[in-house]
Amino acid sequence: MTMPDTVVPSNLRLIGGEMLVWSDDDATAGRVAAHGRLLGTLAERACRALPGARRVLVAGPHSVALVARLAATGVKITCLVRAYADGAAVARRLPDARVLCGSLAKLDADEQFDAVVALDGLHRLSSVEGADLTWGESLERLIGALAPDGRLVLGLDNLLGVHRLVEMTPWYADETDAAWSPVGEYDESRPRSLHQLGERLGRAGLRVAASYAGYPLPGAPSVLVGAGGAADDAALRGFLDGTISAALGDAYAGTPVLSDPRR
Amino acid sequence: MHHANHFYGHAHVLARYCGLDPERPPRLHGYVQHGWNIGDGLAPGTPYVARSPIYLWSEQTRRRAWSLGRRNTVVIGAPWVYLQQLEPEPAGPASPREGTIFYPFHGWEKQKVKGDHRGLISMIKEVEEGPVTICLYWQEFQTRRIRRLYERAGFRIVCHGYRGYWWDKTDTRFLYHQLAELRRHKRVASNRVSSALWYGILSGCEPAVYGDPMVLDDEDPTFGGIGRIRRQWPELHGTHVDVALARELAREELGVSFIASPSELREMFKWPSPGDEPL
Repeated sequence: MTMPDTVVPSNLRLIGGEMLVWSDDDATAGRVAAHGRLLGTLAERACRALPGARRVLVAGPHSVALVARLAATGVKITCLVRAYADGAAVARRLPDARVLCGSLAKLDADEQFDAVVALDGLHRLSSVEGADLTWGESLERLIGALAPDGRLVLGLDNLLGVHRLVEMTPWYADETDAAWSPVGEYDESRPRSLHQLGERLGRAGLRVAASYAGYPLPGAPSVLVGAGGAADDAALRGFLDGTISAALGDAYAGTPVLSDPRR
Repeated sequence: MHHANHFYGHAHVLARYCGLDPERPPRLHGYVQHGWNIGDGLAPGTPYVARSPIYLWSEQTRRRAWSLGRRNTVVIGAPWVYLQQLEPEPAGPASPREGTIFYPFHGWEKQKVKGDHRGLISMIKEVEEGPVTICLYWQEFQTRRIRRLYERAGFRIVCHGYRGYWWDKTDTRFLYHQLAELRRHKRVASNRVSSALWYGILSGCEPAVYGDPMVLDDEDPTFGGIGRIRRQWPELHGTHVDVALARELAREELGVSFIASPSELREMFKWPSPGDEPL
């Protein structure tokens, strides 16, 4: 085990709960940060909607490219990541960004942001160290960090999504290094559906301005389908089916699957 | 079975708990975490036989160990907790606890500690009001230069015994000595968060962590060392800390809620039942 580059960038601060020999964006280990053009667009739009140069918290592992895109809109970025390597990568590429490395549980409760971007979901905001926040607790913390009228851009992995249904190895048999706590089913505070998610956010005092179903994979969807509208329009439905099918086909080409995701 | 299982008489305490001869614990199948650890539960450099079970103190350590690639990890709590169960605090009027027992950070056979003992001594004198006992690890206890510094300061010096190395000269009463000493004192303090501190909190002392944490020769930086400990457990650092919170943390770090029954331990360790022919 070796420490990565030990010259700590000056815009990076360790806040407690940090994971020094871990990365959430390590393709060789099968771990990828939220990335891609579409997610970037979603987040960018939320940032552009903020009047003036406002404060944005990017919580969880997001690709450097995505964060850079947000920074380019002129907002003041604070990144919260648990893995030192990931934080250092962002800190070096974006010297004007502030990077906090550690667990969500250690985020300063008093600090407020005009927007919180958590497109990777909430499951990678706690680290192995210290308090293991439930989904619900993580949501409360993030909402607590929102200034009045603030915006939350949130991603949630659908445990019954196509990507899970076609997987050869089910989630409960995950023996990778990242699976130190079983996810999903055992966390009662985690919403099971888009509908439940909407309800949960409503109870927390948030109004859902827009929601999308993403395909093929939660970390980097290439298709985002907005709610409503498609039910009556056969042509639109056909178009959506075709688009989603093609996206899944591309994503899974050459990968062994349990059943054909395009169906 | 790794010789670290015998450190401090851990295997002996566990054998007693399981109804077996405490002087001759059977071979233990796997590795028992022998000290409070911010790594994967094994001391750095422990030669690990693949797929052997590792018995860890806390759920926290288990999560961390898993992320570092360790599988076959079982949380059983610290041997200390089993000892406290076997030796409950005597009921009835007891002599009141008095003073502070201070554990200066120590090295071991392969790593020495460098630091300003004099500075630490003057800080202890400043902070502590009652009588002070200094508990030196055997290595510092035997180093006359260090021991004399503390003696000359007017402190009472104790040593809990020899920890044991490669099954040799293990003081099987080490933890018992430690428990008795901790129960005499009102406060337990150290210049670093350590097993002794956690043990002290669990056995009823008020904790404190202050003073120069000192430097260990070739300290493994991978897990972030002192800085990381301060960031993760800030509540423990200071001359006077929140005792209720400290007790909760100690219960977690020593895995109090994970204590196994004697038959569970015997099953995991591959130990015989009391009365069976020895293996």
